Amino acid sequence: MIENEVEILLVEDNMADAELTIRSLKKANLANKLIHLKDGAEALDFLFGRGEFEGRNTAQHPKVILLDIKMPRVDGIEVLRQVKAHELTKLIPVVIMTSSSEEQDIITSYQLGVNSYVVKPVGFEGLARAVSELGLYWLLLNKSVR
Amino acid sequence: LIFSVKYFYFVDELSTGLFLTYFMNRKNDDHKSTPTFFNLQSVQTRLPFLIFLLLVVTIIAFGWLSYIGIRKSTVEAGSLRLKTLSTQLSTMFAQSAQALVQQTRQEANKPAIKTYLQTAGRDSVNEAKAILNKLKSDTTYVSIQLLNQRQQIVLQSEQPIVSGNNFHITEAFQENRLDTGKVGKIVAKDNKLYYSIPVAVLNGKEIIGYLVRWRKMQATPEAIKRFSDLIGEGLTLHIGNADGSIWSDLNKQVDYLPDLTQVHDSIITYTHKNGSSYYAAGSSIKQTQWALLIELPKKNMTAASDRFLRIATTSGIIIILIGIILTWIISRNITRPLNKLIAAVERMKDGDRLEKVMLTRKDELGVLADTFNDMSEQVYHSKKNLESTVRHRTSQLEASNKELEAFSYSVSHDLRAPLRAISGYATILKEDYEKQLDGEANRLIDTVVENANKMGRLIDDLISFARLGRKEDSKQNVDMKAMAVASFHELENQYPASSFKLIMNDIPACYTDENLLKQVWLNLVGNAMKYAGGKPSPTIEIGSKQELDKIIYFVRDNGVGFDMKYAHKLFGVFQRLHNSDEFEGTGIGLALVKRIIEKQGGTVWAEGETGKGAVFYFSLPLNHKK
Repeated sequence: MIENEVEILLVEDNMADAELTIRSLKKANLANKLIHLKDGAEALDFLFGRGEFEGRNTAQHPKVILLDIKMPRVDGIEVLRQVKAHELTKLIPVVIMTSSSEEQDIITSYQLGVNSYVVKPVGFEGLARAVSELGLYWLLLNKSVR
Repeated sequence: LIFSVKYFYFVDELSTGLFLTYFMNRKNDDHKSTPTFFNLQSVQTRLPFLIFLLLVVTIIAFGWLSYIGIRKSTVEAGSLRLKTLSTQLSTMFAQSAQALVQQTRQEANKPAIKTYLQTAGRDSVNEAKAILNKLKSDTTYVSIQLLNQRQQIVLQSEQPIVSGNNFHITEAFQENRLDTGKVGKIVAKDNKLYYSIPVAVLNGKEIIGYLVRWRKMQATPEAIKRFSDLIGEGLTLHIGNADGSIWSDLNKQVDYLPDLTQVHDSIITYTHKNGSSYYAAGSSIKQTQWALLIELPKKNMTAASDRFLRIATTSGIIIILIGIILTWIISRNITRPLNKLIAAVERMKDGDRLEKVMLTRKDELGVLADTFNDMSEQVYHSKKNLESTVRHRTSQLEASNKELEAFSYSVSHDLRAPLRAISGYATILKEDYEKQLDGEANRLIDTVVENANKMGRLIDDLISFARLGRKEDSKQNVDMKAMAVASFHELENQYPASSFKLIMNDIPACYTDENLLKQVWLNLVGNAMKYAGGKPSPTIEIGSKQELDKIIYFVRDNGVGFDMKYAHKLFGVFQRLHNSDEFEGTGIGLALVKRIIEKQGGTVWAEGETGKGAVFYFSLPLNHKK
């Protein structure tokens, strides 16, 4: 499974949240080139072309990574740390999307160089609005910059 | 001894009291005062000092009383001795005088003398002369005279040593009355002393003339020495005329005695002209015109008592010194272990080590030290136990705090995810199948979404409430007025239908936590708006009142108010006084306010009346730095 061109990498273990997010992005016509991975380990494998994603062209970066924090195996904070620590990936914008409004998480994320931090609202409308705004912002803005 | 010991304790207590009062102020000023000359605060020096005082007083009192007593009795004994001696000597002299008179009378009554006087010097001239010359052969006699009735010298012994004209019997008696049978007065001629022995020459009962023997008064040094040995050392005998006109030391006239016109049979004291004092006993001598005086220097009289005084003083000083040294040792014996104990207690107070005092004695101090050691050990162990208990409890607390944090993290994350799913999928259902579903189904879906959202808010509020407990204070000067106004404007947008009137009084700034106080204002102002929103002219007043040690802020509204009966329920978690259909809310807002204010050291309370409005107060302490 090799994606040649990925615009959005969504890392989310909760299927319901993932589906709601994808639906919102779809509505804004942003989900065409989206890949959804279920935990941090998979995300790292994808980004650095390891394990399941052996041989993927790692030069092909997603335009934005939407990252949940609380996930099995490798959590979002660790993914963020590795992405921002690696020369290859450090320029990819990362948005943390999480239910946690824990201050410590927010502080750590910004220290590690997160580009945006969004607390997922419980209401679907709020979530949909947040997601589509985020997606648009990062995709469109970064495209024009490139 | 028992008496003195008791007395001593009494003195000690008394003086302790005095010293305590005296040193009270100093003690407050300076706990470890600099030592004074006696450093009377210390038992170490106080005890010897008191013993010293006690011994000095006792020894001086007893010594002086004894000295007085002894002196009195020695003077009495000395006086008695003087008196006895003087009586004995006067008797002795009187007997000698009588012997002399009798001897002379025998000579005077010889026939040749009588005949010579009866014939007025015509008969028995040679015989009479021979008698006189024979009497004169004793060299102590200077002249032998024969007098007629008219006391004129008619015959005199040959070769008188001093010219016979120089001696006349009239000098030897008072008022020139010749008293025969008595030794006459002492007369002084050319620094030498003489006395007369006159007897009457009788013819039957008629006095026909007088025989007078003049004798030189002299005593050899050996005789005087023997005499001194007899009467005792230090004593001096003086012989003189009873009328006090001449005093002699048995050889020559002395002039150092004071004027003693009459010598009584009593003890007198006087001072010689050279200044030394004497005790003396005088007595007149019978058969003579003489008196005698035995004197003893005062210092001889009081020698025994003076010696006693010297001994008493010396031994008193020695006793005092020994007493001071002994009490010094005794008090040292007490204070040294006491000081050890004090030092140990001080160390125990300051440090964590196990303190022991080593005293090998069986008395009260030993018991005290043992008890102290036991106590010290107990304190040490309980300290140790306490420390480990505290460490243990702290780690337990930290662990449970961690657990709580993990729990609230899970709640915030895991509980919200399914809620989001419920809300999200219900919304999708409505969006995608709105047309297939009838109105009631749509209403039910809306209710699901609404309740899911409400539960989300509840969770958020609960978590922020729980987090307050472990938040660190970060205090600063907060402009309360600006903050209240900002809160008002932020909240205004939530009630687009109402137009609130804000009465903003001048309220002082406060030194407190900015973020937490913002929560307070948002909640109180929001509350006021919520309950006043439905009124025709909703008004909110914000003000303050300064008290001695705190500032009271308040938010007043003219909303629905509440019944004071339920005032105590206002600030509880999940406590609501109104139905949630009427007024939205999770029931956490006021609980949050209470928790924040109490954490800042203040209090919250409220007043209200149903239908008229409510006032919410909170106070913040003033004792913060500005």
